[in-house]
Amino acid sequence: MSPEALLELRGVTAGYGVRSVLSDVTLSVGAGEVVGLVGPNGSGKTTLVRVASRTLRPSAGEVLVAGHDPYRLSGSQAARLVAVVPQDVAPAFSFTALEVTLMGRSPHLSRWGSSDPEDWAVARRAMAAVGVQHLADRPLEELSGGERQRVVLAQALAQDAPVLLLDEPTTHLDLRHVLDLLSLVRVLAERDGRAVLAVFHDLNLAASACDRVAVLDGGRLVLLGRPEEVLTHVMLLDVYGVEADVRPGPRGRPTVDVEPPRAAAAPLGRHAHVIGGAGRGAGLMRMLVERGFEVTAGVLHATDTDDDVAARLNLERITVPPFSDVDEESVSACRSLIARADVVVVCDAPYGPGNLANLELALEATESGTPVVLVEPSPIGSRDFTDGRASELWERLRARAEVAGGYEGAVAAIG
Amino acid sequence: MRLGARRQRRALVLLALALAGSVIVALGVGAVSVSPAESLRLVGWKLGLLDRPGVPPSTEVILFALRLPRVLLAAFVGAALATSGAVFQGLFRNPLADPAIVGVSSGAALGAIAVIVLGGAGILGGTAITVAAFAGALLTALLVYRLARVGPSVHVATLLLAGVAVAAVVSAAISIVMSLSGEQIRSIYFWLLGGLGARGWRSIAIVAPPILIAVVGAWLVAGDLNLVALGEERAAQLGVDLDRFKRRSTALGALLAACAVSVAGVIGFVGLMTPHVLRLIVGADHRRLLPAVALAGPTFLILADLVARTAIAPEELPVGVVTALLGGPFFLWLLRRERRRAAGVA
Repeated sequence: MSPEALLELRGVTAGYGVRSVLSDVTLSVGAGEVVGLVGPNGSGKTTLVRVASRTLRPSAGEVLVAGHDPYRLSGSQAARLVAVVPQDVAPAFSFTALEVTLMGRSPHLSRWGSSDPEDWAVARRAMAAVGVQHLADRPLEELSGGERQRVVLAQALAQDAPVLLLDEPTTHLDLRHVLDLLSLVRVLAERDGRAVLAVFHDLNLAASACDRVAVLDGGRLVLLGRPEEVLTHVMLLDVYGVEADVRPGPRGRPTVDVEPPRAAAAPLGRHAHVIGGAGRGAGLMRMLVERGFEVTAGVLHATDTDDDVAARLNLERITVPPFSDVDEESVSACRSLIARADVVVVCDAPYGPGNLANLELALEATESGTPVVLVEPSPIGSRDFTDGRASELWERLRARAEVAGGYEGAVAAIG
Repeated sequence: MRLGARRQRRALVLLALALAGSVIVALGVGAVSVSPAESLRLVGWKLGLLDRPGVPPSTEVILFALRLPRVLLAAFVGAALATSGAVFQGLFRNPLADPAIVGVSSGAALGAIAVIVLGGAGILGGTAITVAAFAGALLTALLVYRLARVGPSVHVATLLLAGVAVAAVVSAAISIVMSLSGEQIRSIYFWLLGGLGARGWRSIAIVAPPILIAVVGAWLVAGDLNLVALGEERAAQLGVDLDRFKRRSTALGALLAACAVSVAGVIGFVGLMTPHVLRLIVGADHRRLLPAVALAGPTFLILADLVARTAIAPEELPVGVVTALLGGPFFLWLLRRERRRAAGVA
């Protein structure tokens, strides 16, 4: 992307054993740039950090750090180019904070490994930069989680590498130190021209600290761009399954406001079948999965957002090729999925000849006594592309189903 | 950290003085006492620095044929055991690891016993047992290492378990050999108990060079041992080549343990305890710890051996009994004190 990219991942696929955790990820971080990495649990953020830090060799694609393939360099050559801040360290023996910080100088030491005054000075400066110089002679295990995390950050700073990877650097920090860390990260990028890639759970922190944000979901890079382009209502619903209020903050950065849904978690083993289309089912499927439902979906069209999300969620689903009509075989396959379901949710998709069969399937379900919930934030008239046939089916459904105005309402009706 | 550096140098000087003191005391004490001045002048004369002092020839014999080789052997074995213990504790990130952990002790015992049972004890001028024990120790360590290796990587937890399992199998084999050995059971038992007496200059000539090389070699992996204490992944992120590090440290630890066991039998507690005690004094940094244990291990073993040969003279206690009797309670006291201090009680 930028001509002076310090960290580049090109088509990286990686995983453990035969299981791929990252697939085909392409991402670059330029000098002076801070890129945030966000995504739900298990989306591959930590795996990406491991690939970039030479601890997990990708099975396909390539990694370049300052133009070098780190897997072709020696360990200490690579460690002079990339520094990692892990979430925590727990040494097996009692080292002082200064000793731990000094270990960050290891890649710069000679074979005999003695630290010269320059190394001590760099370590001292690193400790001062994160405000832990007063802890220098304290054993690490006596420090609080936040103090320890800052010592680990000092260790990575002492490494003095042009690329800095942070894996959830703020987990144990209080508000004061979170802000200090974020401003330090900005300084490291802007003043020293380092490339920073940082994993965040808190989207507001990511929005306030990063030049760009990358969203991982199911091991794929699904969005990459400026915070205000990426952190949107639609993304939160698609990727996290969360209804959130996203507004521009005082300094133009988006702020994300969420509150816990009032719907209770699903009783174990509840099965919901989602009839979606045109991306209208994605958020709902995600929400139902998060709440512990067994979720199936269909009939979907391939390449539709809903089909994509259902695939990432690893849902059992019925899919037909894009732009084709739903055929008889798919209808009967979907009918057997619906027969197993405790509830069917029909989303506010646009209905045309290609997916009219979905409404017929829902109607059949009501006839056989399966509860059906209609999601209807907008009237069917605006979504009917069948000269009234869809509207007719929808009205018949409406008479037998529960009607919800939005996703939260639908989930509440189901739960 | 100027203060720390000064404190560290001072600790090393004190440890070196303690070692010198223990050597002089151990040379002097026994059925015939030799004063420190006499010892020093005799050693000076042997080195060609002084004229022959006016002491009886018997003193010369006692010093050079009995006490000096015994003290030197204790020094080398102590350095080997303590360094090996520190390396294995660092490699396994486990404070309970000791030089016996990779099966070297039982392997050495099997080698020695095989020679005794086959009646080869007198071959090679009496060094056949030492050589066989050394071969047994190294072969067992190699076997354990191969069992724990998958491709280029060694899984340290597997290494630990394989060591324990192989040691159990070899110990069972030793028991079978012993129960079938009849006449020789006494000499086998004597070897198993371990001891530094009656091994002489020849044993020193065999094990001193590899011990010196491996002790200094261990200082070369000291920086990596520090990083590995943070966890293997963190160590790799900081530039440690894990496969090479594990190969080297296993080889060094096993070589040192094999040298020690082959000349002195199984002596417990030195390798386990010395690193712990020294960590409390000089800290956990292996770049300080390894030189410190290489001075403290010999001191401890020289003094323990002194007690072993004088406590119930003219009979001798096995030195392993003394290291356990002296070391065990001291270690427990230290452990309790540290725990209390950490809990803020004391």
